[in-house]
Amino acid sequence: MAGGGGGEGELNLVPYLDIMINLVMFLLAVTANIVQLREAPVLVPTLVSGGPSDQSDVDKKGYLTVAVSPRAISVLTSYGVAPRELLRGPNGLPYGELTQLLREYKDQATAPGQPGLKDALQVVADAKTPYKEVVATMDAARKDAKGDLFPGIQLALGAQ
Amino acid sequence: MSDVLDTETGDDDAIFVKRKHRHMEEAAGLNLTAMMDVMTILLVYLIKVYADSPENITLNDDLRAPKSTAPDPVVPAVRVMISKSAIVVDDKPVLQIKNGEIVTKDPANQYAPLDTALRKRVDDLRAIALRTHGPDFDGILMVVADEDTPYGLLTGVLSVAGRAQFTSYRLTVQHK
Repeated sequence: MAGGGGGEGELNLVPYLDIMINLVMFLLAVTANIVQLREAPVLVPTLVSGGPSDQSDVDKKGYLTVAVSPRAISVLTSYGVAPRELLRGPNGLPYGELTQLLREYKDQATAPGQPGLKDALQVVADAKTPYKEVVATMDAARKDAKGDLFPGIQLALGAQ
Repeated sequence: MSDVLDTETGDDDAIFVKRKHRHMEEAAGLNLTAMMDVMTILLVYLIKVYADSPENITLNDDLRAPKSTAPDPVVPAVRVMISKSAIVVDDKPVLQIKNGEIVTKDPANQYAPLDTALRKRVDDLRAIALRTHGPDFDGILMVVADEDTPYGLLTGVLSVAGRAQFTSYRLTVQHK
């Protein structure tokens, strides 16, 4: 048996160990860089030109639109309630306030005798808005401590 | 060092005893079996972790997905990556980006290379499904975008994907 110091008739484990150690080192280095990924499904974007995309359902249920800009988050309703604007604070956009406001709207619209709200929330953003702020808005709108708010998000595209 | 000192004193017996003792220690050796067990278990574990990640995406400063509480696991699909420097379709760069804008000589058709690449990918997947009698093209697009990508660029890509017959979009994010 050549090299490695193995005894007579024994398997020389040293080269095998070398390979194993190299493999383990490689995999440790690779797995250290693997981050846990998740997916946020979005509904098929619609080309909007000022009006709602699905007119038939609008008459039965209201829907909300959240507009994100570098300055503020605006919440607009399809049923005549005045738009609300949540201004950016020193810590960024007010996602906590957005969650509270959406819960308020949802509770009001789904109260007995009210027409209800669509589960899908339309999100539109300024063209320069960073993607992370859109994702944070989607997170704020998805659910709160009481449960689901708007699990379906519809990203609105401007007409091109 | 001690050997040298011993030689200098001429004590050959002491040297012999010491060397014999050292030789016996070496013969006893390290028991590699336990170490082999540990290494094998570690190797199997790491391979499993590596294999379980459905999409091996290398995140770096050029491509850092935003953090989110989105609950859905990653589903393998046609992948479009929007980094700070390029738009990549299934590991093939199709467009160059600088300061959040597409670098192109033809601004009117700035998304044309992306459109071509996505349509070709759809055609390939349909052809494969036809030949293998496998499931048809599902229209799912996995979008991995850098957290600083402007919304206008993201929606531009989604719009092109829609025209290329992708009907379901999944935004890939880092688990918060």
